[in-house]
Amino acid sequence: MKNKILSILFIIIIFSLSIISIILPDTEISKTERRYLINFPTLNIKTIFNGDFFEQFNTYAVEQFPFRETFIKIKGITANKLFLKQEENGVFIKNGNFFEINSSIDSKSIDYFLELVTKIKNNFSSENIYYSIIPDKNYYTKEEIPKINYNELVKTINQNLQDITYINIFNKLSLDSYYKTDIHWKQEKISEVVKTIALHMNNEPIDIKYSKLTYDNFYGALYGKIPNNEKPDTITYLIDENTINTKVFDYEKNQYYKVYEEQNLKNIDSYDIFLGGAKALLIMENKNSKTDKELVIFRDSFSSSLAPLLLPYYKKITLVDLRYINSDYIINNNLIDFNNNQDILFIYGIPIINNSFTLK
Amino acid sequence: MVFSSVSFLYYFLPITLIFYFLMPQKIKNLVLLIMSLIFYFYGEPRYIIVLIFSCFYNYYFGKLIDKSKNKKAYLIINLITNFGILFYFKYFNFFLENINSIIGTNYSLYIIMPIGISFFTFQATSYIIDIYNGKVKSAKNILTFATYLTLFPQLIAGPIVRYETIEKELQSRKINYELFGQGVRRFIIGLSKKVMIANVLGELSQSLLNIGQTTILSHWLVAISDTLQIYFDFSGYSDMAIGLGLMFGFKFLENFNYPLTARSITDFWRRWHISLSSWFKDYVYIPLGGSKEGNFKRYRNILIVWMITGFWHGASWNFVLWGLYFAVFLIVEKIFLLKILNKHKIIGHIYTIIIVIVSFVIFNRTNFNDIQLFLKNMFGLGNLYFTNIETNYYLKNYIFIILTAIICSISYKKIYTKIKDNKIYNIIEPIIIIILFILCTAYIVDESFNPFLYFRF
Repeated sequence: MKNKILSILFIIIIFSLSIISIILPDTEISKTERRYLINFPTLNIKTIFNGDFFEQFNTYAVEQFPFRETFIKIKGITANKLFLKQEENGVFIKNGNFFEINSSIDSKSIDYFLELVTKIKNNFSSENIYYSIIPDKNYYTKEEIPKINYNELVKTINQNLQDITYINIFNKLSLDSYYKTDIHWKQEKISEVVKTIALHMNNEPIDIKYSKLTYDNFYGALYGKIPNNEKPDTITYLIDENTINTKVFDYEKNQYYKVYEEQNLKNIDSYDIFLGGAKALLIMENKNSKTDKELVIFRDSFSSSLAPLLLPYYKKITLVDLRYINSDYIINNNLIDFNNNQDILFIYGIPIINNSFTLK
Repeated sequence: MVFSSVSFLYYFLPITLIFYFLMPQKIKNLVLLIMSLIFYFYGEPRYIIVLIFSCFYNYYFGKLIDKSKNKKAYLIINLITNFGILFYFKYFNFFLENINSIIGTNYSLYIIMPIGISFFTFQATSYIIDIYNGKVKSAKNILTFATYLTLFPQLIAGPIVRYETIEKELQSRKINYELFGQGVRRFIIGLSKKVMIANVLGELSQSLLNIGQTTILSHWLVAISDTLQIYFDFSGYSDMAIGLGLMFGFKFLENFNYPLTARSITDFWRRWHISLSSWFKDYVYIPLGGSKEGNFKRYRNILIVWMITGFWHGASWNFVLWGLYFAVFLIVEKIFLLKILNKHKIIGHIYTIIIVIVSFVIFNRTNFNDIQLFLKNMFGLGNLYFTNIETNYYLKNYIFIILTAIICSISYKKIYTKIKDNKIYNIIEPIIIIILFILCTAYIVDESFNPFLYFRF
């Protein structure tokens, strides 16, 4: 009897799920994963005989599986509640704070990063070249989680970039400076970082009174990586005359944007509010500026929220994200006016430095 | 195609079941053959030709040996061909590498090994040798033989099923809910072993190998989780094969019998990958003279058999070392140790487990220096801390899965024997098994979960 019941249940499950998966239309985008899902692979003699079709069909079958997100949740809950595993997909939660676990430094990536920075800086005539390293939030937690050797990493970079000025911001941040569900820092918590950078680059300190706007439903990049019932973060963005009067030119799209693109709060990644999200090359022109100084920042996404706070010090800020534009292309096509009235800042988060092969 | 995939569980299996059960008895073998070829083609579109050749060639030689007077000549030709093909695909690159390093040349060939060739070659040769020895009659027709050789449940990772085991079932077999349900149960248990335990332990081992600063404890954890992973992966696969066999009406022999409960290495190898060790016993050890011609030849035979057994696992010297390592313990046990171990069962168990764990350190590393370094670190000779934050973090995260794996591999049989006749257990068993299946599906689907941090829509 029990074998009969088991047989019938098994058959019902495999047949119903396979029929549903054939009937259900394909999903195009996975919001929790922030990526496109694969479509039905190309079927022809060539793809069949070289095995491509079957390989891609495996991925297709699983990515378009019915109730996929529910199954992923079931797995997370099983691992967490049954096997008491606190880490899932490389992410660990403690007190509502999400940490991406990484304990090893990729020395090849560091070398690549250093070579790239050296190559680019050699093209600038300016002597005012600076660099800074943004620690990930794991640096500040007291939890006993695996961490990379931060001292060693900073030491290696310092030793290899001796002819440009290092701006140390490690002691200007704390765990509270970062979103709980995301890897980025909070704009309202980096005023000390802004001051430190501005001072190092020979600017007179300016005290700005910002007004604050908030958005309460920010589910950060780490949120989807591990099943949880934690609250979303709040994004606070700081407004003053400079941020209102600055126009942001997007080189790739050839059009102007605002500093804060508020409709982007509804994007999959609400952090896109800052300078419109990931962009290859942006030029911020501050008409209100009281100086003539210009700044070029080679940056990752951390600078999207940092750059608006540097506006009081500069007339023009150029932001280059080498993940989306090749450094040789910039240099060869003179996309940046090189002049002597320029500060140059390389500022990267450790996650990018330790995985720098995305930079070109 | 692997069993633990959506394509197998929710596409291939339902289609195969429909055709198999809807078609009349007469053409069920044909359905199985076609589906098995599709199964193989899916993972190995080009080299399916090698498998098809093996079907025809061995069928034909089976007939020849059965009828001819010159049996021995045909046997030798057949074995040379079968092992020649295996050698070419599996060992020729390795052979060239060694030649190159000895005489300083630089020959190389681009050879890809067809999936499962070690398994189907061993099945085919067992068939041929059994016909030669008069143990079985050659298959009546090519369909029967090809169905036997390509049967998808055991085609790519065993167990090595002998023709005599399923000879009758190939002609006619019972199919009913009883067998089907047993098959489903066995299949799902195997699937759970693979996806819920083996894969997770693989993850642990990978994380621990990547930590910034390894420790003595992290080395032990890697070695232990690798041992458990190999056991759950491989025995899980055998369970799935046996289960699928039952669903289609075939009874394969057991391939694992709780090897981690063994109390000596002799005992371990009676319980681990039984279809392989019995193949080597019957077709190599006994023909070499076995244990009948005095102790010297007996030990020599053990060394030969285990050297080849090791080499069967892969074309690399570490596998040879792995085989010889076991041979040494088997010989020592035969000389005197086994008697002592049989008297002290707990000591026997601890001794066996440690030797097995160390064996998989050798098994998993192709480079001898890596093996040496790993063992040195494991046994505290490597100037490492005993443990650190990273090691503790992973230990805390995975301790329950490790404990589950240990309990399942050591005490499951005892627990199951106690509860299997319990009424309540029998009522809830189908539900537990189905829940396991849903969890397995969740684990498999989760493998595709791959969030992007910096995605640009």
